[in-house]
Amino acid sequence: MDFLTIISNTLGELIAPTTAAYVLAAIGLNIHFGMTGLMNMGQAGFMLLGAYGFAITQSMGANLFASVCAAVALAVIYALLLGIPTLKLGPDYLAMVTLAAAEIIRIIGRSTAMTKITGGSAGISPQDFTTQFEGTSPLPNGSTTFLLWTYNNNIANSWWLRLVAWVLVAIAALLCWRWFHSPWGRVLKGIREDENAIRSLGKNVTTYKMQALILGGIFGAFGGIIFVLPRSVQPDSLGRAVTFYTWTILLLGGAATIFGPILGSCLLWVLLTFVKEIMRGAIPDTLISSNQVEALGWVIVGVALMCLVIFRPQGLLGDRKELAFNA
Amino acid sequence: MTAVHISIRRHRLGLLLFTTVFALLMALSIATPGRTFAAEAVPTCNPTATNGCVNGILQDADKKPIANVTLKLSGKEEATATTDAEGKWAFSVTADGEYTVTMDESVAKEHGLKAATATVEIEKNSFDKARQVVRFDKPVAASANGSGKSGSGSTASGAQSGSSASSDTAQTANGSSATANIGKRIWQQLFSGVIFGLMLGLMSVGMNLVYGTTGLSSFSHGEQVTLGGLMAYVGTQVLHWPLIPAAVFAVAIGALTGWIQNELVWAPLRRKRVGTMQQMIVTIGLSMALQYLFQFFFGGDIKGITKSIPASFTIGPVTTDAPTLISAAIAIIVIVGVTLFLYRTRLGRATRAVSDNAALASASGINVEQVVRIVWILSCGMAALSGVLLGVYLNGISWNTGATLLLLMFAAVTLGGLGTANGALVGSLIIGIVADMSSLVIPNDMRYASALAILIIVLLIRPQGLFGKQQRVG
Amino acid sequence: MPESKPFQDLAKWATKAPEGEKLISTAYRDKVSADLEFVEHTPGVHKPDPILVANNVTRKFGGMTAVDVKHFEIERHGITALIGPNGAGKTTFFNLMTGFDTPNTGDWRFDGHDMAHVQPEKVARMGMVRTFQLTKVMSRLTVLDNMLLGAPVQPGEGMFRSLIPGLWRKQEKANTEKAEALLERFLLIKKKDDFAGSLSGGQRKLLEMARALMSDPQLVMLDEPMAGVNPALKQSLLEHIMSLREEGTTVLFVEHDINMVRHIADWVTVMAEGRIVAEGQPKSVMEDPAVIDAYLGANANIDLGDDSVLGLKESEEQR
Repeated sequence: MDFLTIISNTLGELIAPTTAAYVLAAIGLNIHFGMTGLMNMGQAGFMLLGAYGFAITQSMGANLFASVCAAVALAVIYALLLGIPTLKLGPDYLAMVTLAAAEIIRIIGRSTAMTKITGGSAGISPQDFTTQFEGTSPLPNGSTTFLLWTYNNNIANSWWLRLVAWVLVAIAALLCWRWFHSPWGRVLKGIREDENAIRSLGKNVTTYKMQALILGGIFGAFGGIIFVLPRSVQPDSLGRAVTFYTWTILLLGGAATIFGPILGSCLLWVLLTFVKEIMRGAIPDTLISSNQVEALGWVIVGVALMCLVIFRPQGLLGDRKELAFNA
Repeated sequence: MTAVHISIRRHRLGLLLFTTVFALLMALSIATPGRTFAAEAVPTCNPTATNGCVNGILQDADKKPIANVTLKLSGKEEATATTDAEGKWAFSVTADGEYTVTMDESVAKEHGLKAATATVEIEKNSFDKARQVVRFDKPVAASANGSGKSGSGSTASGAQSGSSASSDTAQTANGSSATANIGKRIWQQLFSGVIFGLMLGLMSVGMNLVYGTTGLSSFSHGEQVTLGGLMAYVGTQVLHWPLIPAAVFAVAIGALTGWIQNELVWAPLRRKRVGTMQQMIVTIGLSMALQYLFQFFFGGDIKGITKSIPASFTIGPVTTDAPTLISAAIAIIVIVGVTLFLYRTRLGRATRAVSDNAALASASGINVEQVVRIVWILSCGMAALSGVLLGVYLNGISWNTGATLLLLMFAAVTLGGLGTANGALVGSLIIGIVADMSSLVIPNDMRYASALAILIIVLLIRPQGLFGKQQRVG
Repeated sequence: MPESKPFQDLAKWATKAPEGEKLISTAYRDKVSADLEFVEHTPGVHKPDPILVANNVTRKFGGMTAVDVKHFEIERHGITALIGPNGAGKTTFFNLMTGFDTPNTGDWRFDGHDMAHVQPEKVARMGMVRTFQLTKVMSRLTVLDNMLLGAPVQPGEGMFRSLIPGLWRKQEKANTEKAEALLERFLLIKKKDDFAGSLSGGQRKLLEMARALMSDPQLVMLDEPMAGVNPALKQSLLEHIMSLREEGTTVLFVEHDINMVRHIADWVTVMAEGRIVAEGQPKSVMEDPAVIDAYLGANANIDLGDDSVLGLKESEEQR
């Protein structure tokens, strides 16, 4: 096996747009769960809506800015729809409703009856919605090699996309840092700890929770856009599994930390790719097929998630002390 | 009363918004002509996201395989296939819709088959319609019943032979003849909804018992169902046992895993006082790990528990077969048994006491851990049984069967009321019936969405579920 | 130090004394005593200067009536104690008054404003702040952050404004100074950067009370402020409560500790089975045979945990 290829493939994940997409989704989830304590079990729903909002308006010929606005608007409306009825109820309800609603979006999106709009289960293919984005690139055409990696400058899984994705991540992290250390973030954390106490201090808890839900959802929608840009908008690729991946990333990096989502996403994808590549290289195809390698990758993620919650619930960057008081 | 009014109004507003959007989405879903792709004959066919399967085993009246018969597929797509030495044949198709399989009349007569043609409906995204087994032992009239499409294969293929746009006209033409059959379709869907609801009930009653006693919503319950089905497959197809010992084996394995996971994972976590939300995330991890472990060992295709195709018969307006009815009967017996256990036995009463108030139950001398252990064993055993029954009913089980049903289980449990055993059964029946009946009105591949929408609407109107106790709201 | 001479240090403690007014006096105490002197000792009696007036407040849980209060008034600037056996409905009554629970019937006015069906956060903003029987501190926030959450004005608590520190830094500084002064007063200043979850039960009670005072409330409702507090701290807590009165804050508290009630309360209201069964000045109420019968005699073991409604609800939510 070619060790250099394995290394470069593995490290390629470090800067891959998908990794950045997951970072954005996890940052959104961090605002939900890490800061406010909302159990959002349907972050993939926000991502899928964002992706649809962007891709459908793009394929209809809207300009880039309008498409991004459409994606954000969809996420906001969706958050309002989910939040108004459930935020006053217990945390179980939000979990159930977000889970079910994300699934409903996916089922409706992939339905043959929606083929005209969403392309059904085949989805919206890249040439229908990525051209404008690729057109905005200031980079020259062709491809560039940087250290180990060679990618096209502008097309599909490109340097331009990587650049935009990670700049978005940087902005998101910066905003999050600002919010975490502001009085607003303090109120959210207070709600996470004890919402009745916050209520008794004169804060409108429902409004704060709604703000958090919307904000996290918007980050999810951006994650969705970045997620689909190097591929097509396929509803099944943004299913429940994506939500669970996002949770794993958040808990791996550490909830309620700024760099947790970034570290979690990079680490998860690098490690996962590494393990898969090694398995593909080291174990003959007759013994374990490539489908089985893929399945094993998932098993690893599942087991990692279990172990994380059991043995290191604060994640890599979290503060153990903070979790000691599980009131 | 202002606050109460405000909160109700807000709920209504949310509900209204939600239903409006839902309705809009439905309205947007204009039926679109399907693209025509070529169907092809394959040795074995497994349904995926992009293809469905029309297949079967051609047997004569004495169940002997008939080899080397040419079968013609017509309908949305066309192809021909030849049966192999075991009588097996399969078509992989890409478009949803109705397909007619035809063989030479003389061949049918020669082997004592009741029909030379049969029509099935393929829905790639549908759980039980992605693969259709075609049989020629029913008279033509009976096969027309199920599909609501009159006429023989030749007229069907005639209608389909034009461009893809003709499917629209074919559908309108169907409309008039379908009105006569709509009553029958309703009954058929109601029947299959009840059967599905019963199986779902078997799963969700167990899940709800776990929730009631431990407060844990287990995401890995779907995998317990899959496990049951796959173990039955191992029993019948790998170890070559008869079905009943295989089913017992599957249930035993299921119960055993329930016991083991309680001892190894959940009991220690409870002892460590890990919150139920964290435990829930652990079940998500477990679910992922198990699901892909199944895929690793059993592959991505559907595993049939029984190979033979049962003979179907008609009761009133409903077409069914013996295994379906037996499965339903078993489900009913087990659910009744569990109910009796909960209400008539000491242990059952203890279980309900723990559900009601674990601290109080513990204080009054009930061994809570013991009760929880039994609940886990029972719940996983029931899940395994439902997996077996589901596998028999649907002609097979695959690595992600349980996972696709998980949300419906949640819906059923929440609908009935979290923590109430009987509520889960009623919730399951409602979800099952709604899911199957809604396909009469909305596109078939959206029917699970309708069940989930019901869940959300119920949560908004009556958050405690149909049978749940009203909790004090702060 | 304050244990030996309770009132000498009050001027130093005071955070909101009116200009030029010294708090070493017992002015409010004297005024309230004088006012209440001639008030009849009957349940539901009218008082000269009530800050809170409740009428026909009932709350039923299933078939059980938890609260059924015909008429109830709290004297402004006074310290009113609400006592009664377990399950008498004291905490439920608290929950109703502060909007955490919705009554089946009834209305009440706080300082002339109709408060029925007002949301808890609005109740708090109107100057009626409560603490909880099962202390609610934000465990994974620092003591200082807990205090700052109690501040009524902080523009940085808006989602967008919070992004521009210039808009809220100044207010934050003022709030911090106030919080530190209060923490000093409640002997928690050394703990200000510790997580609130690391505090002892008694310290949490102190923190909760200090947090409630961040908003300069007109009426503080303390639910069992002494439960779980060690005797040494108890004394200083009593002094805090008395100093509150001298600063013009009205105090209502639920307590089982009869000595404490006798020591600091200006007025005692006794609840049993959801109703108010007796009212009066501490001395006479304690001698009332009806009270002794309903409360002390019937239930000698009064320090067992009270199944307060909010407490129960809390445990249900956590499940």
